[in-house]
Amino acid sequence: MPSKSCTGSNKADALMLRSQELFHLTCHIQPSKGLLSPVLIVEGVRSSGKTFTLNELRKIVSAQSKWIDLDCRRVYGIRGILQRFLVRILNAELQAILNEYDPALAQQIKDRIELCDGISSFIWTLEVLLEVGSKYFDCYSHIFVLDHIDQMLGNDSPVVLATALARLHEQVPKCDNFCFVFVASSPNSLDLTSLSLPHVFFPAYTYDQLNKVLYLRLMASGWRTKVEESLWKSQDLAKDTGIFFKTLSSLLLESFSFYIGSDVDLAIHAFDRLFPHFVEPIARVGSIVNGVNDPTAVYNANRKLLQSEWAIRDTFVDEGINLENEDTNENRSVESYDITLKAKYIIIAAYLASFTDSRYDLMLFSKTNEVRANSKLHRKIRSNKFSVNSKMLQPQPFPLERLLAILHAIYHEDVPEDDVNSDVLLLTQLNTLASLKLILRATTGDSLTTSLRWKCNVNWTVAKKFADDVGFEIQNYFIE
Amino acid sequence: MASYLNDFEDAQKSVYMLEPARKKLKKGVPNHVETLKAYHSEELFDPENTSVFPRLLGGAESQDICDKRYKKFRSSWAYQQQKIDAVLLQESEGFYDQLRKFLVHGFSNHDFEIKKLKTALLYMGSNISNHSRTIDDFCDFLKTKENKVVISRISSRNCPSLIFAIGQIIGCSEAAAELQSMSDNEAFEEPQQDLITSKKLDLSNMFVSLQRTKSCLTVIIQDADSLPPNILEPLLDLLNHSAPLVRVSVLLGISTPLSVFQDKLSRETIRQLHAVPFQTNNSKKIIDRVLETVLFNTDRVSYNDLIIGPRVLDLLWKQRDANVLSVTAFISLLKFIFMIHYYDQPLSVFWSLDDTEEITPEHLKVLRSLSSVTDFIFHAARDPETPKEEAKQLFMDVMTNDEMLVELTRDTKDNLFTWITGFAEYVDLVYLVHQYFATGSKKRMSKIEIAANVYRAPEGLVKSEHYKETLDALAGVSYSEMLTFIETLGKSRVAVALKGIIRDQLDLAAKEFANKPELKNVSLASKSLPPKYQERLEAISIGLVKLLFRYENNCLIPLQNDEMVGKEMCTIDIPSGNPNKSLLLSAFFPAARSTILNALHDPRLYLENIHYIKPPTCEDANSAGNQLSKAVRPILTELFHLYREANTVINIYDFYQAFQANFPRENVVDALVSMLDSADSSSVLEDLATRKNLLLLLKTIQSDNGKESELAWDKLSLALFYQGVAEMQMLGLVRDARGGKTEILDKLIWKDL
Repeated sequence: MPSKSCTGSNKADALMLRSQELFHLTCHIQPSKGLLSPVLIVEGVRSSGKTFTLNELRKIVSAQSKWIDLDCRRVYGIRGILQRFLVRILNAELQAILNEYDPALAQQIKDRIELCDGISSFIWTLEVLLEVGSKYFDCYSHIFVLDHIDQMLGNDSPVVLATALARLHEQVPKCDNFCFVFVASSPNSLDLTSLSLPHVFFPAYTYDQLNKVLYLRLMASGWRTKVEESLWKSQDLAKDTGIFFKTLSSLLLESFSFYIGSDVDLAIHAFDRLFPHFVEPIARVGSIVNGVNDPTAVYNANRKLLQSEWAIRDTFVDEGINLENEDTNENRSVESYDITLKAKYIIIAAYLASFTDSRYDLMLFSKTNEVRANSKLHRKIRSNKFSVNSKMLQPQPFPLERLLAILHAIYHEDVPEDDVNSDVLLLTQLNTLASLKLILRATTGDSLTTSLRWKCNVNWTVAKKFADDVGFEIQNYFIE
Repeated sequence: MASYLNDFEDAQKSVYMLEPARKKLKKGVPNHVETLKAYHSEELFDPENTSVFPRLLGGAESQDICDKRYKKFRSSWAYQQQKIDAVLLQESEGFYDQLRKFLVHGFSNHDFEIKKLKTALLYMGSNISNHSRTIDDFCDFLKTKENKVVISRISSRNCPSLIFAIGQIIGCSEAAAELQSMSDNEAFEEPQQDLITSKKLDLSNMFVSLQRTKSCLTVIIQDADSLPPNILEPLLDLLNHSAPLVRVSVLLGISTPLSVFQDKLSRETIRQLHAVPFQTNNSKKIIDRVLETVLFNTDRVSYNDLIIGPRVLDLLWKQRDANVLSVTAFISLLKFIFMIHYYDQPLSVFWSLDDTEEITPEHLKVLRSLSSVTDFIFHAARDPETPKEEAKQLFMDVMTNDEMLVELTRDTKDNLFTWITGFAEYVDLVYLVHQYFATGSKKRMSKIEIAANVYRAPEGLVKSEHYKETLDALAGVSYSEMLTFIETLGKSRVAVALKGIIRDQLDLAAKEFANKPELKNVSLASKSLPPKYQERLEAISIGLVKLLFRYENNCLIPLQNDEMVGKEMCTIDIPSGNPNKSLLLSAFFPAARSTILNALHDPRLYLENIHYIKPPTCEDANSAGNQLSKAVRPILTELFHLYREANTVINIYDFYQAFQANFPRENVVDALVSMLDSADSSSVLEDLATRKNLLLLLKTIQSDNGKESELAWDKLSLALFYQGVAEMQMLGLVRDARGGKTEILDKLIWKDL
């Protein structure tokens, strides 16, 4: 997440949009004993200004309180979160108090914090701390902010943590000067709805608000200096910069509102892509000339910039955008992959093994034509009218012997000059394909067990592509 | 074990045992593991001096010579390995440097709003066995070039969950920190192994220490394809966000196409990465270079070089074409080929500098049976210029006159040296001619392909239709083209030979053309050159063709006429007579399954015991252990023979009956009793109680008193039978199945086809 910092008047502007919510928050978080709500749930969709507003609140209450915030997405599990809390409670001031009281105990607590592995040991340590430093804790209220609690790392459930912390003030009577703030996109994930807890809801930004927030974010970002640098000839720098960002942000939102929704971060990413194309014409001239190089004019000249989805396409390698009206399909090169001929046949065989019924193996793959031409078998299949096309079903697991049997059959027919030796090379290729996850083990457990089954992990398009590569008519092997 | 034997009924019951706690297991390492370790730590096994080769010539070879062969193999391969290593290093250095620069340097600070993680996407090819080598090499390279880099390697094997991945990264950075402090006070402590229990799962401490030492963290994920996205995504997210000031970079090794890998990750993750794709060197190219170095010695021919024969070269080329072998596997294949030469060619010991090796009559016998010797005689016999009498005399000489044969072999050694050099030079020359004058696919022909073509066309490349076009082009060039070509030749290995043959012509031409510089670019083919100049240019061209002919005479005629008596001592090739029996083929087609089945069918090759061969002394024959081996083959073999005769579904009771009926009861029981009765019975079975019980059981069988002994015999045979069946199951020959009311074994083959 990018840091959301605004400066000066911008900040006040941005805060205006969330004044209501800030007011609600201050009602519950009042840094004096007795007025502090033990738990507070802050709810709102992604990018609705929760963290930003809380940070503002922090500045208001920081004089009489210790503000401890944590992004749960960056700390591993409940253990990590609680450890981090304890480390941050135990600041230098408290440390000094502890040392005065009993240095041995201070050391013990320190060790204990390192070993803290769950809620019970967290409570134990907290109780000792409260006991010893009761005056200190009376002085300062502690506000714990668990940001993104519903996106905790690891396998621990946020429900466990949230319910435990919500009931902490019942278990430990002395911690009435603590407040836990859970920030989540949906309170349902915390399973706390049955408790009557205060709850601050952040509605998603409206379109106009979003436009404003985006504009303010851009004005506060590093891009502003870049724009100012390129406006070296400009008379009124502040006005021109404002125009540039305002036009561009509204252009961006208009074009991509279907994708961005109310998420400013997504807009920022798209902006990052587009920015060079818009700033470059300005830098060439040195000032914004209406109708020549202002963002609307640039957009009119290169409609593809915003009309194609290039700006919001996320790929590893940005191939750039081709602004000329060419058909890009022709230029696209064939993707290269080096898989040996035999490996391709193995994939085809695996696909056939996974998607054809083993009952018809004899008919499909038998080396003798008489069996294949057996009309009895054909009739049997035709009677089975209402079966679903096997390609639409999930791949069926098969034993490795079946794959090898099919491979022998199709490989021998297609490439008569070469033979499938069951040698180490074949096994190596199978292993390679398995490690590429093109074929999967369908059963877990011991690899020596005889009931081991495999599955093909490629879809029809891929299998067809490989079949076309080697000139194998895979569609002939399906009974439809 | 004791309880099984005490009571037959007990054998039918299941026994459950409480496993000892895992920690206990870790502490006490079993004895045999220690012994094995000691064996491999060169206390007991010294690969330098212990010969592992068998004595050849039907066992008549002296141990001394056998050891010498082994040593020769080691020195020969060490020499080749050195050359190969140099090539590998040279091939990959530039690429590694590029990767290093991306990963460690050039971190930009102005990211405006978005922080992106530097990611190198290393496309490693679909051959997984290449990957470890590439990553290992790159890590070593990175360690030597940069001292402020903490490298952490993660693979899907050691990271079943995110917690392990984090632990791995922290562990690596701690180990690196320790290593640094170690250089200060020289005290080395084992890095902490059990990271998960050490409760250090917070990356922030690590980033603080990284910031302090101003190091850069590089996380290498070898198989990013196999690492589940639910581990990979949060890991990348953590690395990107944990600390703003620490330089972190990631190397993702991928082997599927980029777009496939991209589809596995969420768009949010992809947005966070500043990814640049890299492509490892194509393994085919490296394999070519390795093969070239081994085939064509670059500087000086020594006794460590061997000639790789046409059939082996063909196979090697096919292997390389199939693109299934990794570089490492290819190198070990070459090593195996070298080893086999020294392993089963008794004459290889003569391929050395010192001429003092004594040729024994057995060696001479082998020498006379070589195909090169017979070819030599046949050639003389067929040659119309040699009188019949002389040919007959030659034949008699070779067959009877030992000294003459030795003399011939000695000549061959010198000839072979010149041949190896000549061959390499010839291939070089043809390669360069191709580079300059050929068109199409021939221009890209590698030296190995040319060498293979030379072997295939013994009448000479120049005469073959294949090269006509190229030679025509050579005859139609302009002076300046010719000059640049000759300059390149001057830098190559053929320089010396070149000088002798066309120097005069070249000097003359230089004088002539200096007068008329405008003619330099006129080609011979255009026929607009004045006759004088044309003559000069043609003379050079003819000189070059002469050079080609001369090389062909040197290389091909010996190849054709088999003038080299005893060339087998340094030639690795599959004999033309009965190729299937050659040990070399197992290097190319290692059929694991059929090897096991063959071994089960006929264990003679692996068990050189009394059952198959006569022992050297009479005493040995009567020893208890040998008695047993004489009486019965391994149980698994016995069962396997029955298995081969059985249908695809085997009733287990019938199987047991057949097994019991075939079993040589008397002999085995007698042998077992004598084994357990002997003085050193503790070496057979350590536990005294078990030994006593077993002896009691065997005595009961021996006593032959009706029902009781039959029951005892049943116990013993059933135990043996079950052990054998369990082993067969583990080999994947059969599986348990249930057919109706009876228990059956199912053969593990696909029956529907």
